[in-house]
Amino acid sequence: MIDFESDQFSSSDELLKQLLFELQHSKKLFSQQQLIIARMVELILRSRPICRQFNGNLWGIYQEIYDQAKQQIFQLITQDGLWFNSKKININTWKNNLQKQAFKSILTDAKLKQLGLEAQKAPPQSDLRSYALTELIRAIQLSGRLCRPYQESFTPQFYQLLYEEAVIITFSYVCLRIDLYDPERGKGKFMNWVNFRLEKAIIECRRKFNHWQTKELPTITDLETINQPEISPLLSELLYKYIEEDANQIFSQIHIRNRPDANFRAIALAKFNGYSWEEIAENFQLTVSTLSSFYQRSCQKLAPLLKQELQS
Amino acid sequence: MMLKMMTDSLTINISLSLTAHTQAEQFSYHQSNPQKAKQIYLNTLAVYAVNNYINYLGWETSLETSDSWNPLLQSLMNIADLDVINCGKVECLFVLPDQHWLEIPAEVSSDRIAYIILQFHESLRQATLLGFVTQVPSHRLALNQLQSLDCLPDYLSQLKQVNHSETLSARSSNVAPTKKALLSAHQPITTQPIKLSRWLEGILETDWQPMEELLIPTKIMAFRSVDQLQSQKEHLLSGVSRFKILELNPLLDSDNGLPKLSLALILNISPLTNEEKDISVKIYSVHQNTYLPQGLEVFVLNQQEIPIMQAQAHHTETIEFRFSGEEGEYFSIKASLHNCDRVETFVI
Repeated sequence: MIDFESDQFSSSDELLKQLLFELQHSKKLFSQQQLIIARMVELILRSRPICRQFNGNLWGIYQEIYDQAKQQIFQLITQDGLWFNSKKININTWKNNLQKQAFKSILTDAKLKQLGLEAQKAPPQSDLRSYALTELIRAIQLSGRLCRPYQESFTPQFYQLLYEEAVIITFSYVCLRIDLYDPERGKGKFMNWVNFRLEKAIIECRRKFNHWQTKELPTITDLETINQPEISPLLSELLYKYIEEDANQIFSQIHIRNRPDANFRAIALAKFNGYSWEEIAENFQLTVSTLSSFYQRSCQKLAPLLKQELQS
Repeated sequence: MMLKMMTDSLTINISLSLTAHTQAEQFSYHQSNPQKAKQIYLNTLAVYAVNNYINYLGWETSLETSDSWNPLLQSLMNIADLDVINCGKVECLFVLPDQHWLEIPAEVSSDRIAYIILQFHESLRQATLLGFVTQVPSHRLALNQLQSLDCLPDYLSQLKQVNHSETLSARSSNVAPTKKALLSAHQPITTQPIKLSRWLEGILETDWQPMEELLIPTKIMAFRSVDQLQSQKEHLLSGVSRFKILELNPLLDSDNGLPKLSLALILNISPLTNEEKDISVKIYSVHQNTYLPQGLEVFVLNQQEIPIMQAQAHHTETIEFRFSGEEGEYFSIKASLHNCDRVETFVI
């Protein structure tokens, strides 16, 4: 899932606050008020998540949504903007809420369908396609039209995890398979196509990730004390042993030109034993980049052999 | 009304959920060293986040062919590559919360198409994508030196064009030709390198126009001085000259609502001997300003995308390169300003 709220407190927020204060506290002619509100609308929409410009342009459906959002927010401010306490409010939250409210009401299924067809029209793997897909995904989220099926079958925590994963899977599907979308099917509704996939994804995830029902996803701090399972020997141990034994004298034969001592076996074992590149380089009196690029190439070269020997 | 053209940049957060954590856990379970296990856990999450992001941009990826998905290579190296189909490998580098510098692992390969940098949230439920660089930096990289991800889609599609031309000959026999043919049928003609020798046969390309068009003032508004160009035209007269208008749209400018920059790229090809051709490349500014934008860099790249010539504009009216090449050789012209690039690829 992409989260796209603008969380930076920009200078436009400061200006917005001033304008709001001006609107509420000074007696203004109606026409002056209208001008101030129009100015505010444009400031608010600077951090808009959708109908953003592509190479400096806005056109078609994107322009249409942008124009409607302007109107909507204008109305919302005219209705409510004059009444609440502008000093107490967090301007960024207020701004984001206005955007959300406006886009939610604008983004009907018909609009989403147009956005979907626009993405389909753009050539695959072009920057225009990427732009159209980004717009589409954000619009789907803003529309609030994603379904939340089977909610009652799980604990709220586990459902949250399942749902997040299912949305990720669904969005990847929408973005990679937009060409499969057929506007004639699904009773002509775009979100039927998306929600059908989402519902399936939840069922798949439930089957695949049942073991997470009883445990939580780790945080960074948790990773410090990660519990290794009691399988032995571990792959890393097998690998260490295999390279150390070097039964066929392969690993010690691969070495830096004219430096038989700086061979793959010696470097790999040093790495396994926790030596840093700087330490290894100093030991061999070679540069880090010589060593590491040699090591990198050797790993690539040896990968098929190691795989054959250790993973079969 | 300039104001409405402005947009603030957005933070891109990618969720890390069950698939990412399950995979990270499985990979880390192969390790006996807890620090190594943690490194692999985080690398896996980083690759997964970037994988999703690239998919959301409409690009297929292949985790299976990425070394970062191979438990043996994970054990041997500190690796987080991701294979982007038709494009090449990106490396996914992460920083922890509150970190302002990125330490580059010594064994990070220097031949990745891009290095994408992300920051984990303490919860590991989300990662914020910070930006990317195209050259591997040495040791450390400050997070404020990154290129905006807004430029990534353009960069990927440019790269695909280059790859596409390289694999053109090998394509027929290989995997799933029907799907490839289907995909390329959707592509505009410009995704293929421009075949310069065809110009000598008088064949026209859609984007590349004869020089005469440039001299009609109504066609290209405000092109600096027709007289000046006329003399340039004389100079270029042997062989065939064509031009293309390149739109450079640096982030700095689009954010401030300034008009985008248009450059005229003029290319001349003339035969030297049977196989060898003389190539001249010139770049002008299209708008009234006589000088090229300060800091504009122009490169001539060879087929491996290695710069073979380069120049930077400082109070410069025009940049010119002259070189020769044989039929069938590839080269690209790259114009770069404020981290935004335009690349045009040619085959002689």
